[in-house]
Amino acid sequence: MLHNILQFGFAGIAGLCLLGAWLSRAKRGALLWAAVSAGAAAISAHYYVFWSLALFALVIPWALLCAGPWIDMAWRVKAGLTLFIALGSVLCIYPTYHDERHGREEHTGISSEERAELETKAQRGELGFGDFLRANIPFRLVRGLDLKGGLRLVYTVDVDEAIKDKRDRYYDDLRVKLATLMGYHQGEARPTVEELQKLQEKLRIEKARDRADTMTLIFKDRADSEKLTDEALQQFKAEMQVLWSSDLKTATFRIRDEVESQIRERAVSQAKETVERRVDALGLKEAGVTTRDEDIIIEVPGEDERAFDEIRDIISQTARLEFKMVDDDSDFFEPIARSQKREDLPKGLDFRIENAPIGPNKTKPNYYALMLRGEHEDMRDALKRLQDWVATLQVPQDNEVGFSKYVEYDEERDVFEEIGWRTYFLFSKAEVTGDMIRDAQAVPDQGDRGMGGWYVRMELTPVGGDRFEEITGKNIKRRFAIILDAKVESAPVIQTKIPGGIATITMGAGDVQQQLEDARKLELVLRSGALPAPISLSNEQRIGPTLGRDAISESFKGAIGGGSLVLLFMLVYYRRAGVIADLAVVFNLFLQVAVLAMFGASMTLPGMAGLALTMGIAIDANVLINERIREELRAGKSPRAAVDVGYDKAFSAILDGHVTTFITGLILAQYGTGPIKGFAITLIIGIAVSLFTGVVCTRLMFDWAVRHRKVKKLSVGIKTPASV
Amino acid sequence: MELIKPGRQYDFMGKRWLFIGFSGILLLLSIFSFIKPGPKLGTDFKGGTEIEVAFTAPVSASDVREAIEQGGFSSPDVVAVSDPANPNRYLIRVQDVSALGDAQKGKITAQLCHPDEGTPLPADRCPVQLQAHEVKFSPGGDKIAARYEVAPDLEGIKKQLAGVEGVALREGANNPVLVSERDHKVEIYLKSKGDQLMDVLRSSLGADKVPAQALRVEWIGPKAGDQLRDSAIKSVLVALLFIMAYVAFRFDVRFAPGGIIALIHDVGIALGAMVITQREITLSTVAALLTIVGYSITDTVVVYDRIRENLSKHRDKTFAEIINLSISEMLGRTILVSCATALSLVMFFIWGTGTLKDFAFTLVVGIVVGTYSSIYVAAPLTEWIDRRFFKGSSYKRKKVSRVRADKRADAVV
Repeated sequence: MLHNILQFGFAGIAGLCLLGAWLSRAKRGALLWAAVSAGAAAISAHYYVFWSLALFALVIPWALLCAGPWIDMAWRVKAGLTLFIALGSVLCIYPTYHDERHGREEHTGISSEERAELETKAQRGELGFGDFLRANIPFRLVRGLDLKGGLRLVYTVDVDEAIKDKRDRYYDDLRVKLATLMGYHQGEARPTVEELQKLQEKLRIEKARDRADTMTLIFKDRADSEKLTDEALQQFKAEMQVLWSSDLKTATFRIRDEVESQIRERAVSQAKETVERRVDALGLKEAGVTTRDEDIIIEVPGEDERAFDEIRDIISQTARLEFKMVDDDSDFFEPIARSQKREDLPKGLDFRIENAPIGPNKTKPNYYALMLRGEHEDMRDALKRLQDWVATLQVPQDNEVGFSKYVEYDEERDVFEEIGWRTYFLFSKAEVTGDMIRDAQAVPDQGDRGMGGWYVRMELTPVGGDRFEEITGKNIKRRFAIILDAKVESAPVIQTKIPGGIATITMGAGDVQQQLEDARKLELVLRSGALPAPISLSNEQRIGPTLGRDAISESFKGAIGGGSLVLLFMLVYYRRAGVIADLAVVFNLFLQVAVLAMFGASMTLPGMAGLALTMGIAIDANVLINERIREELRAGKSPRAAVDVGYDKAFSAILDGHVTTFITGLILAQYGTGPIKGFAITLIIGIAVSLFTGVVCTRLMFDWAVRHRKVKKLSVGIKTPASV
Repeated sequence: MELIKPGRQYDFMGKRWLFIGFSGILLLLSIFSFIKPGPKLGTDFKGGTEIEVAFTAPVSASDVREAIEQGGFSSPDVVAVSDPANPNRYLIRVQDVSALGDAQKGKITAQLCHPDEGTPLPADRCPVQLQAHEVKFSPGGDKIAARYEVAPDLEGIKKQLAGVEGVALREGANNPVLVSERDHKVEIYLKSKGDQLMDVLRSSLGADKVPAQALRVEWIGPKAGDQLRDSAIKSVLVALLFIMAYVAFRFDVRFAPGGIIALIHDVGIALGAMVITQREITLSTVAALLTIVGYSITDTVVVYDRIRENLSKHRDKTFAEIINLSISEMLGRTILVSCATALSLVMFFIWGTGTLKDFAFTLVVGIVVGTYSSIYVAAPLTEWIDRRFFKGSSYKRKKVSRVRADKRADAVV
């Protein structure tokens, strides 16, 4: 309904403007501009493109203002721009205003599908104009933790994982050391997989299953154990305890207690920093992040369930990325597939054969296991069942089994569907790890397949890039697996050696919107770095404001009282020029709130005081200009000349003042974290807005007085021949 | 209305040494205040004790806050927690923590059979299920976490600690408690600030409203750790560098050091005022200090702009005379803007509470000092640098006038 009105309304306006342009020669340019905008708005309305509709609709008054008879074209264009910005701000603030006034509608008690349907209806304008705007403008200025409260999430860091990691690193080091000691490997280079595999002839190393900090080295022959002298063990002794059994065939390595506590503490503090970076990356939310023993507590302001979901999603992703080679030479699942009877296997498990590439022009049929998802079964449960089954198999030391989502094309519904999980047989050594990533970026896929999907492009550090190049060079026409949080995201075949350190992760086969969202999230978590250990949500609470209601209302009084005092003061001191300054300052505040709302920022009490202070700074520009105009008037200039010269001379001081503050803001935003970054961005917004309102908007009003109304005496609070 | 009669000149430079001396004393005082009494860091920087209480009868957040403040705890956070089962659930944070002394810690570790390396284990009272292989004290001094090789004997642990002076286990079941079966982690809760808080609540709100036990009592870490402090300091330093470069480029090299020193002066004194009045330093304070950085540099640059203009206009005057003239011309504007800005904050000072009052205080001090420093720190310093390193300014003045000519090109309005 509404869309029809918008569509035909704008088309009508376009028609009228065209008619006007045809009739009036003088105003043809401006009216044509208005007609084009109205036409574009009508088309946008037809295709339900909200922001394009809003943009073109707001350009129409701008264009029409330019067609007016006032002063000159330059003035009209500037006035039109101001009008455009003002209307845009109203649009940005309206949802926030509505939610504050009437409370946020929570569609509780209905299913998610119904909610989605309701939302689509609102977005298409079937529920009235207000709902139309609110559904299409996703951002709100929320009240901060001190004013409104929010959500408190307690995550527990699984520090044992960090310890296990450390042990695994020592496990790798120990094997390298032993390979050298046993004479399988020479030189400084890293030993190859084959060299390491030869170690099995003489010894084996077991990682303890029940203890994260222990591994046991067992020699087959006592004589070999003597090669492992104290000297050779030096590099391990600092952080590990080594205990020999009485027959000297077994050595138990255990991470020292104090080292363990250190790892625990570092894991928690690193996890806190990473979580902080991720929360920062989500916008200007002034969230609080604290630690408590092995817990991380995150307090997020607001009450929007959808925003909370996003935060939960992003915080809990470990984002541990590894590249591992697929071991296609050995067909691990073949004997199992042949020997096991169907009845013995878990439900839904099946074996399939694929043609795996094992070098240039060579392929080999390999088995892999496929676990089909049961009807109504969660993908996660299916994975759990597959993992449980794999745990019963005897996987060789140097290998592991990776799991990946299995997707099939559903012809009837024309969608790709996740139908289960499949396995990859991998080498357990990670060739490239997440700490070798320098940057990540979500990029649209413009490949020839034309699916219009998204992928994430990763830039590796120099070390990672070299490693990647070396590995891809050595393994042409073989597969490598990109593993994110223990799941194989993809296992592409290496076509050529890949130099330059660029790797990509494709986003599966969901619809484009889903892919974009996933790509954005992945980009964010890869950029903010991996968590040193997985974290899990252990507690979640809604919390109220940290400040009492009386304190909040008092502060509101303070803000309004302080603001009005300043406005009154300007009025008394500068008379009508003071009115101009006051209008500019109020407009300034309004614009700032609109921009903050666009960022989805949260407003805290100090933030409000900061806004009040910005008023003071915005006034500075006006005072500088007004004082200059007064000086020129005293020197005997006419009102119009005084305004021209006054602005001209005041501009350098205003510009320098703003630029220096702007530099401060820019650098604080670059290097600052958490609240400092938030402050810096607010400062930058304030500076940009204040330059616009202080210089452009006030000038428009002064010009109106001296050039349109052509006043003989300018009212600036002093008595001279040309002023009162 | 006019604050300062046009054309009137004041001799600012004549008494500059007096005022620079005054500034120096203030700055020294600020630095000294950091040693004694020392900054009072808030929960944001230091961490504190957090308890969660489910009151048995309706109480308002402000009642709870008042009760705690009366009990001698400063600036508590009282946050309502929404819980459908009990609407009167609150999180209370205070910055006091109960710390254990080193002697006490040593005694406890010895009692828990985890002596320092080298000392032999007293085998008679340390069977393996009472032999901790790791003992950790929470920074709040209210919790001891210990790990054991085998399933520990909880009653035995309780007895082990019974004899230690000044250490009392919190009443109630489940203490000590086995928190992790897998690595045999035991937590032992001690009487702490949290219990004191509960006592305070009980005495002022009435025992009928306050439950026998808090839902949990814990020490929480600081919101702003070293990372935030380092990044704040680093970014301010880099910003200073860039501002110096900008001032040197737009004005003249002579102007740059004055602006920077004035900036350091302002932030230093504002911080000093916070410390001397023993106000709590929180994350809001950091924001206030950053605002002062912005304000101070703007104010200085505006005065510089006038000096630059007058330098090219009055070629016959000395640098000191030009500074006097420029500052006198700008005096009306300077006072006006400072007053207006301060006015917008004064209301917070009257009506605001707690954090906000401190925030407003810092800003007002910063604005006053920032205005003052543009006149008495930045300008005289520039004059001194000009005299000392540039031997008067006849050569440089030509350059300045050229800068001014360039400027007209970028004036867009």
